[in-house]
Amino acid sequence: MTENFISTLLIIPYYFIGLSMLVGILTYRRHTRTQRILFLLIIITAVVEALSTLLWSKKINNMPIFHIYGVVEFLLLSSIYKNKLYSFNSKRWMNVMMILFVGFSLINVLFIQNLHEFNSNGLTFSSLCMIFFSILYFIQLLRESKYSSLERIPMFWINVGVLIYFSSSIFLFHLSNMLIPESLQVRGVAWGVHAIFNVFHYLAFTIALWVRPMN
Amino acid sequence: MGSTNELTILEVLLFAMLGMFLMAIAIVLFFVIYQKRILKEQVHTQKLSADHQASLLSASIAGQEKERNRLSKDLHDDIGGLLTTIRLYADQIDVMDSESELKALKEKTTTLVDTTIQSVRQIAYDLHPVILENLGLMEGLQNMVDDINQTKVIHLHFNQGKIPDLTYDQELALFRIIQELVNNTLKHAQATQITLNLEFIENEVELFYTDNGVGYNPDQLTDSGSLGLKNIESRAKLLEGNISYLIAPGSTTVKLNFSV
Repeated sequence: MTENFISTLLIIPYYFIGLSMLVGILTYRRHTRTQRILFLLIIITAVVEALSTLLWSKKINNMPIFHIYGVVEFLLLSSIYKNKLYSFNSKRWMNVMMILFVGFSLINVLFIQNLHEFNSNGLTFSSLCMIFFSILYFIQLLRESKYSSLERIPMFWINVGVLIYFSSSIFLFHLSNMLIPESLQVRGVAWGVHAIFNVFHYLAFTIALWVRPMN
Repeated sequence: MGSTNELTILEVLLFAMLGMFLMAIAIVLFFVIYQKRILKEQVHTQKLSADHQASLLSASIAGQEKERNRLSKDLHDDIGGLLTTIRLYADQIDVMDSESELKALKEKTTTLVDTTIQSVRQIAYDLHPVILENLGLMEGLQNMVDDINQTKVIHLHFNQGKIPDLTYDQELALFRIIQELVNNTLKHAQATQITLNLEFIENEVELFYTDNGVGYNPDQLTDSGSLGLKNIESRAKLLEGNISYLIAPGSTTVKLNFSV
């Protein structure tokens, strides 16, 4: 793979983030609570990506932004699942998990990984939780068996995006800091492939914002 | 690219990432396909249940119509005929001369009026068994058993256990089920013996009915079966009970259980 190709791959998810923002703006008036939280997450993601790109262009370490973003992403997605996993009495234990994650992230930054290092621990833990939540949601859907048109349920698409993205990326998140720093090409290829999964991620989120929920 | 080690790490990492990606896709596809299959089965079951309910409703309406027709026939043939004869006798009063003739006419008219009253009572009883309302299920059943045994055509053994108080609707439904079963036996079974047990076992009322007749045609137990059997099933549903049939050469057994 050439460096140009990897560079192109890394940019493509930004277009899909832009597309999901556009769809979110166009459909904002008919959004459910879930869709609004998702739209907020996408806006925050866009801001974070813009900021991190700006810092990277000025040769400033942009990892602190991702430490904060990791926590915000976890909290927003968890608040969606807290509302949707009702058959597992999610409100109680989800609050506990959210508090635990914030606590873990603080401990990670203060004592384990510093703020200027890639947040592999936080992202790995977050990915594990998200994979768990998404599978629980599929189990709940199967138990209920009441939706004949899954493709019209926003939460279905959010769940698909979460499962595909976090499953595909968990190994990269965990091992990223172990990749030899000098080997930019290896890192580039790995993150280039990650970008493809990110495309699926934001494509699913775009559909989640687009669909009109059933009554 | 760099050293062999780097390539190996990259290969392992890409393999892991791709493997997890494909697994996630497989989970999503499995879920979608399985969920659609479950929904399809649910829809099919609901349709079968709805068709069956429609069939029961249709049978219930047909049963009501049949009852109305029978009532109409009884009123017209029995009561109508008796009242017409009474009318003819009344017309004869004007042409009677002697006291003895008048006395004889009065006796004949009185007999006819008594017969009319008896017929009206019987029709009323068939429509709504007052004895059930006034004296309860057991008395109503015993009355029915006595009437049948008096005919000497068939013998009905009734074994009654101690059952708890039921609501009037439950008693009526149970009474009608037993009536229908007895009618079916009398009309079709060519039986000489009927055994009827009514007991209370483990919080359930159990009705056990058996005769020594030729038995039902198994097709009558399906959806296309007889009106009487559908009415039995409707009433069993009202009781939230389970009904089962055991048909063998020389006997038919029906068992009904419901909780109280």
